[in-house]
Amino acid sequence: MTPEQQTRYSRQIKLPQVGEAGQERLLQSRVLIIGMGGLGSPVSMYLAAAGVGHLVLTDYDQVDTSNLQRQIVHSQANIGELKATSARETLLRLNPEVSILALDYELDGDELIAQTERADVLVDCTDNFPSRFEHNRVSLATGTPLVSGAAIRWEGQVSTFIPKHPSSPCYQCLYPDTGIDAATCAMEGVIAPLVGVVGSVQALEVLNLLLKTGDGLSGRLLVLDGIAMEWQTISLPRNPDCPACSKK
Amino acid sequence: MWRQPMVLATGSILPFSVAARSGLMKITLKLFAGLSEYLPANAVRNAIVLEVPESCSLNDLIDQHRIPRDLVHLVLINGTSRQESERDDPILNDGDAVAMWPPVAGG
Repeated sequence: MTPEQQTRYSRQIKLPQVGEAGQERLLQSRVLIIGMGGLGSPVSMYLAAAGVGHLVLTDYDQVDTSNLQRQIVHSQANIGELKATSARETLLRLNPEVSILALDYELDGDELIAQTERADVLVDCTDNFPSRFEHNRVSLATGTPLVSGAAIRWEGQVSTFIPKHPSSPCYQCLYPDTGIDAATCAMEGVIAPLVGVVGSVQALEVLNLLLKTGDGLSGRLLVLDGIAMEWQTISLPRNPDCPACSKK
Repeated sequence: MWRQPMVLATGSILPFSVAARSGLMKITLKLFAGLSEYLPANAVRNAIVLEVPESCSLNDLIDQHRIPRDLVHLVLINGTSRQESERDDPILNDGDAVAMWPPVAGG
C-alpha cells in the first residue's frame, strides 16, 4: 500500500476488523453492481470511496431529470447520458485509483454468469422481480454471495444470501417466483434519502462479506419503516422446498 | 335468524360468523408500504388497534380490510415472520402486534 493509500484509508485501517491486511483485501476485491439508480448510487459511491478495487457497474438506462431527486451518483450535467457511464465519471472523481468497468447494456445470459463468477459479491439494485429472480439463480449457480436491497415510498428491505452457506436461504425463499407484480417508484413514489439508507446498508453488507467480519444479514431480512423510524430484523429460514435452492 | 355483525372498537366490522365463535382480544395491525391505503380512516399513521374475536385468523384480518391476499407478502406477529400456510389458523393472542408488508422490489 502506498503512503497516499495509507492516508486515504487511514480511518478504516484503524479498525481492528480491517487493518492494512483488510484494506489490501478490499483493494483486490471485485464487486458487480446491477442497477445504477437510487440504490446503486450509494452502493457504488461508498464502495469506491472505501477502496474496493474493482467495480463493475451495469445499467442500460439513461439519466432522466426525474432520477436526480435520489440517484445521487448522477447530476444535472449527466441528463441524457447512459447511467453506467455517468456513474463511472462520478466514482472516478471520488476515487481515481479504483478500476471501474461500466457496462451500458442489459447484462444477461452467459456474460452475466461470467461477470458474477469473477465477482466476490453481487449487489442487486434493480427495480423489478424478474431481474431479481435471475440474479438469484446466477448467484446460486456461481456461488457468489448476493446482497439484495429494495425500497419504495418510505419503506425498505435488505438481505444477504450466501449460497455456499448450507443453511442460507435464497432470494426465492423470500419471494416465490409466482409472477408477482411489484409497484415501482414511478408509480408509488419514493422519498429521497430512503434509497440512500437502504443502499448504504447494502454497501456495509458488501464490506462485511469482503472483510469476513461475519454473515451480516444472511438468514435475516432487515425492514425499515422510514416514517415511524422502525427497523426490524426478521428471521428468514431456508425454504426446504424452494425450487431455486433446495437442490443446491 | 339475523344477528347484527360485530362492530370493532375501531369501526371495522367482522362478520358474525367470525365474531360469534369466542371472546374478544385486542391486537394492533400495522400495514406497511402500499398496504397502508387499506387501513380505516381512523388509523394512526400506519397502525390501528382492533378488537377481534379470539378465533380471528390472519386471513380474517386481511379479508376484513379488503386487502387482496396476493398483496400481503410478509406477515409478522410480534416481529416474527409467519408462514402463508398459517394464515387461516387462529394463531393470534391478546396484545399481539401484526405487521403486514407487500412485495417490495423498487430500486
